[in-house]
Amino acid sequence: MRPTAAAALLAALAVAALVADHLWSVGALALGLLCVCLRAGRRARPYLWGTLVSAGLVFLLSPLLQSTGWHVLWSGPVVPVLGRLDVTREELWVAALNALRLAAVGLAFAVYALLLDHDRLIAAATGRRSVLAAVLATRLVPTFERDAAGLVEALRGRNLAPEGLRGHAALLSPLLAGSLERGTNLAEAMEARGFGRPGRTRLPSPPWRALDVAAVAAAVAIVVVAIWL
Amino acid sequence: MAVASVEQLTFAYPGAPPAVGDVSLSVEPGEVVLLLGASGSGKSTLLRALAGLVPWFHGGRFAGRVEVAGLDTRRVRPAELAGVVATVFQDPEDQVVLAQVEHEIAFGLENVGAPPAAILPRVHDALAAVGAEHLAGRRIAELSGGELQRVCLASALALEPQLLLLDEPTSQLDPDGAEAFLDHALAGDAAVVISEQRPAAALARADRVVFFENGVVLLDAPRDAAIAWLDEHRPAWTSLQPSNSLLQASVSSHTLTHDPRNSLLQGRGGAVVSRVSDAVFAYPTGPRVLDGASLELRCGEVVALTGPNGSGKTTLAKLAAGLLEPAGGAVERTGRAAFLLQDPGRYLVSETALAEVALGADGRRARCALADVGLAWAEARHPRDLSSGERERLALATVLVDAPDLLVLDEPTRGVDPERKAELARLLRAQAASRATLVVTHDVPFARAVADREVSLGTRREALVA
Amino acid sequence: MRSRSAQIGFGIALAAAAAVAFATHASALALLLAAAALIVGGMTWIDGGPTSAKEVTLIATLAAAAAAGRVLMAPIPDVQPVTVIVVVTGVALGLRAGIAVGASAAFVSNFFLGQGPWTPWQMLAWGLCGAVGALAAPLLRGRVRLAVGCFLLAYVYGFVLDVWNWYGFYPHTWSSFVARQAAGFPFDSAHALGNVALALAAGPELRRLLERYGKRLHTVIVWS
Repeated sequence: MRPTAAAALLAALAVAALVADHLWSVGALALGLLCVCLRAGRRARPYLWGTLVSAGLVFLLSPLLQSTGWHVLWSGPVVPVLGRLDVTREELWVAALNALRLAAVGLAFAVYALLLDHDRLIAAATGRRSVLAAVLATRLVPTFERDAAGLVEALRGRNLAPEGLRGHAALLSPLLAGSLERGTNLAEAMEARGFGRPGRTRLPSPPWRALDVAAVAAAVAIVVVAIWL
Repeated sequence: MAVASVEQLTFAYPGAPPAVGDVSLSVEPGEVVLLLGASGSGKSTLLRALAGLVPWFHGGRFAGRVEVAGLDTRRVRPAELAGVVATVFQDPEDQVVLAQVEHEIAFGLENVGAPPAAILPRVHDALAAVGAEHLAGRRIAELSGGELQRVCLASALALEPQLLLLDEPTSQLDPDGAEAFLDHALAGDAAVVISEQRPAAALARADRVVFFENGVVLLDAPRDAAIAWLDEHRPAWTSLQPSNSLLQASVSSHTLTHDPRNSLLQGRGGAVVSRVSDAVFAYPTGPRVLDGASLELRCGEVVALTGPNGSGKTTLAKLAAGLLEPAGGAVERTGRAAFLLQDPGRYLVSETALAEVALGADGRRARCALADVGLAWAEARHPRDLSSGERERLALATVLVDAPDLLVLDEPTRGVDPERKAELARLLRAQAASRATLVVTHDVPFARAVADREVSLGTRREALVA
Repeated sequence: MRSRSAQIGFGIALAAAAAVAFATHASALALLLAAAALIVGGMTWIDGGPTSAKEVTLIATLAAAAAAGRVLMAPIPDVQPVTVIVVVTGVALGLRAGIAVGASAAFVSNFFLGQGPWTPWQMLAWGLCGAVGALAAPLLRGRVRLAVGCFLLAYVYGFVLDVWNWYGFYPHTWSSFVARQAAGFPFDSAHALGNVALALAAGPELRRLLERYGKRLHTVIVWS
């Protein structure tokens, strides 16, 4: 599936989760996204942990932090600033809904980060200058990281290993200076390749396949259904 | 009709003395012109003037006239010259813009407004022209330096230029990669103006040679006449070895083919400064680079470590200097070691040259070290204002100032002109008695000139196709 | 804003956000749409500025260097240089550069560290830091004053990052607001202290470096 279509589908699922009112529908969305996430295997673990923690916090804390509803399940002490701590069935229901929503959105982003081909996605949008800056930056990060490692290694080679925060912070200036030099060379190469000239054309993108169209149609349908329900 | 003509070009970068003075030159269609000269002598400035980058990109004082394919660079900006002229610069990392090979090559074509339907076929034709069709679907981040430089060449050739400008394009490549690159670059119909520090390979392929010194053209002649002139007036550039009779007398090297499973012959000389025994090493993300390698370095001798890309030379050198710990085997060291990385001009951290050298020692020894490398005049200058050759000398001073017992240099002759190479060899030999020296290099003539002993690492794994 | 399609897109997103916001059960979506609208609008505004190769590479270079700087500071826990670099960019190079570098740095570093629902908020938060740096530039010229500015901006950053989490998913009561902000306080304080340390150690040097570079962006040619 082309990444733009997949991204649209994921966005639709996240929007649907945020709009839907019923616990079962949001739960189903979260579960479905979780299954897709698990396809990434071990890499998914940090994302899953993060989502669990954030969603868990919502579920555990929000009932204590409000006082609505009638079916009190537990009543606790009065605490300064926070007021009376109590838990009602209505509060639990709202908390569960919000926690599942957060989980669904978090998982949608996780699927995007783990399974989508970022390069192709960005390539689709490179027309705009601001996106080109982001693409260029992404390409430059590994180079600059190597330069940063080189700075540290060069100092170690001179028996001057950087120590502590001041030592490492002192390398920020040379790192930036070297990066700016590389940037200037890059700008020169870009101009030499015609950048900035009016009359720019685009490499034609591969045609939309049936699966892509289906994904976008499904995305629209999901949002409509979620709003309707 | 000449493809390019330069008439009495005089140019100075902002706040600097003239980089070229009164240069005149013309380039015929299909001709290959080789520019030779020390770093800072004006070759790069001429190339940039032909591309219009001088003066439009850099600013400065411009006098004279440069005309390319009938377009006057006073009136036409570099971006507009792009389809007619194409340039390949020295460092591929500083030229590549996008993340995938095909998009990268298409970038130039998109900029010049090529018809969309024709873009992808031209991309593939260009990849074929440089022998890199197998790279078509790959990501830029996965490519080696040599492969990246081929992609840059393909990007330039895809524009189908009349004039191809190459600014030291092979300085980051090993000798085999350089030969392959030049073969592909000079194969087409375009006129080529190329500047090189490693003249041998390019001289064989050039039609005409132009020699620069201090911004002025000393020689502009067809190849055979030029070689004769260089032999007489600037022999460093045509002889394979740095010309120094002292060096030739002291050379006594013999090559040992190093099988990683056997231990190495011992060196002759003084006390052992570093001994690596049966070291095994693998980087966290890759296969074993060294498997049972051994090396012994003694005080008073200079050892050259040679071998193709990927054979583990740099890794072995770092183990010997104590920068890395082996996963197996042992490294015994005495005294202090200093390691000079590749491309050391990139890693300068201070605001003045003197402060840079004085990081490792006191002011007096720093001044001496600067004087030793001929940079006493640059004490108060900012390191990044110095030329690349001067920066490398500064970096050398920073490792010498401390008088280390073991000095390791990783590829010190990359992109360095022959005269500088000879000076470096002289300096290393002059100081050889006081320490052990290890030089990792591709440059076999330099190794022969500077070393007492040469160790050659066989291929441990497939050399990257450069 | 220049392009028609961007104006239309901005308008639709804003309208949708408003409509959904009235449906109180979808406050998270409303705020997310508002953020998206801000980002799209910001991109369009930045696109409208000068766009030579030098300008584009300047933004890209600083954003990438800020992201790579995290690797440099890795041995020191909880200290990342992005905020200080973004603020100094705003101070030295102006509003457009500050916002663009801030937003790009967020996007780029998450490219390597992992994107999450916080990415648009990081873009807005760091973009805001860059903007504040530019607008308050005369106030942030000294070493200590820059450090104080970066200290405060860490809390602003933390607030922007957390506001969606609170507004969208927690009950809208004062107690929950206080509790949520209190939960974030240790992280924001670590961020603030890290900023102070970096700004004191390297702030003015970085600013001078960028100012010198900024001057070289404008080339002057003398013909003869």
